[in-house]
Amino acid sequence: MILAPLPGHAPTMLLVADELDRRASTLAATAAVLARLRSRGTSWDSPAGEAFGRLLASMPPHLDLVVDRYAVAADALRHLAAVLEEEQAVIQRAVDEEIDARAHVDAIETEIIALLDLGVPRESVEVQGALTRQRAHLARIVDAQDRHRAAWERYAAADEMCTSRLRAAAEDRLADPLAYRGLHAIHDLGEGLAAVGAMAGAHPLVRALGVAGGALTVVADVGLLAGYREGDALGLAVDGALAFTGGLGSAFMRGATQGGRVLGGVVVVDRTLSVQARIRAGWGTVLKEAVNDLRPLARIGESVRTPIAWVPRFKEGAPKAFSALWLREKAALLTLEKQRAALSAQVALATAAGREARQLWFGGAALSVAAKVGDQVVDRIPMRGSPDPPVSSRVCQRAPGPPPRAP
Amino acid sequence: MAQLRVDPETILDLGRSLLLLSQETATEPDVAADRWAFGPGQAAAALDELLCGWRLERLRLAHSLYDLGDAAGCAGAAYVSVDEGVARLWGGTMS
Repeated sequence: MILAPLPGHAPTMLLVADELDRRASTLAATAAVLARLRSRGTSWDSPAGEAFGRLLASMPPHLDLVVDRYAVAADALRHLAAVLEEEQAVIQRAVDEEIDARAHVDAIETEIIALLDLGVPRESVEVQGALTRQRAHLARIVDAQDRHRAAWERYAAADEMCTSRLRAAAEDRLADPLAYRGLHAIHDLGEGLAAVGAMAGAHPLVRALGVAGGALTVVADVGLLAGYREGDALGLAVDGALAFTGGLGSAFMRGATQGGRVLGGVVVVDRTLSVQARIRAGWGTVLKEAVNDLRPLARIGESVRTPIAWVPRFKEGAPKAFSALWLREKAALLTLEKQRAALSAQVALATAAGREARQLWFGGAALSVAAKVGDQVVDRIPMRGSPDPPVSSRVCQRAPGPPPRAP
Repeated sequence: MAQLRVDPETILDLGRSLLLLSQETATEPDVAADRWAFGPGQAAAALDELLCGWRLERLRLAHSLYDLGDAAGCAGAAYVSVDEGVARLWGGTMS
């Protein structure tokens, strides 16, 4: 068994602890000033001062709890950092000694084999002397292993102690309620699924998962907005409207081509439909396609059991040395041709069905484009201060603008 | 009753401090980048939970601090304005 060094970096832990201490001190100092101003004898001589005094009185008494969180965390980290640094040194010495002792054991092993090959008897002074030296180095290995194990156990005990203190400090009135955590977990899951589903060339199953992910995110966001007034109602409305616009566009385009077919390049109109009937039929088609997209979800278990079925294979006799670029270009060209042909057929069908159907088709196409372009435009609008930008605990950045509204 | 007199600049400074504190509270300390430094134990995960597991109250507190800082700024500015008005009335100048 080769001994492993103990990973970690105590100076970085101390930097984190320093940052937490700084935050705790700032909060404690502010809490002390606010407590003095909130004392009974304070009076204010102006409407603005009185407004400030009223706000001060309604201030939630949470600052002390936050100070406790940061202070406890800083102290626990300092203790763990000290143990880590100390035991890391012990473990590193044990690792180095074990490597050195093993090298000696191997060298002596070679020496003994050479002596025996030369015909020197096993009981000779040379061989016995070599064996004694080898045993001494083996003892060094055992000793190094013992010191390594003991140091590792001391670190593990310190880590357990630190973890217990941190977990105990996290169980206060500030902790997020379970339902709130659940909504955030659903939001994160939905976002992840939607991102995977949006990847170009994704499998229909993955695309369907992406659709489900988008729906999950919206459900979670509505829950956060309704239950905790967290989030942006306008952003949510824009997202929903864009999704609806895209769906409406698809429905219009599908509805415009109802009642007709293309047979051998010739457009045949079977039925004359009103605009309302076309929109209803279009929605029906869109919904049916959505259900078809989701259908592979039901086959997940089956696909897991037979994964080989998902692997695409070349047919017998197909050329074996296609370049990846050539294949991609060919696929893109074929897709483009297919889309162009499908669009031409749709326009021909809608035109043959009458002026209203043609207008419906082009209106639907405009809405679909608007949904796609609008989505990109909304993504590019710079936000006024990220609601929760991550910062390094070492270099504490500050987000611009007021913090997000929470109840 | 003992009276505590607070000058306008102090209130203005308090407003600024509260606004800065509000921004700092609104941001979530991210220990993910430093996780490797904590060694192979559970401490990093527990610290992450301690620092990030109070988002709801953190955002409420940040907003309270922001409102308070804003109000302190208004109050401080009002007192400074009154002081300047009084000084002008008496023909003096304010630094």
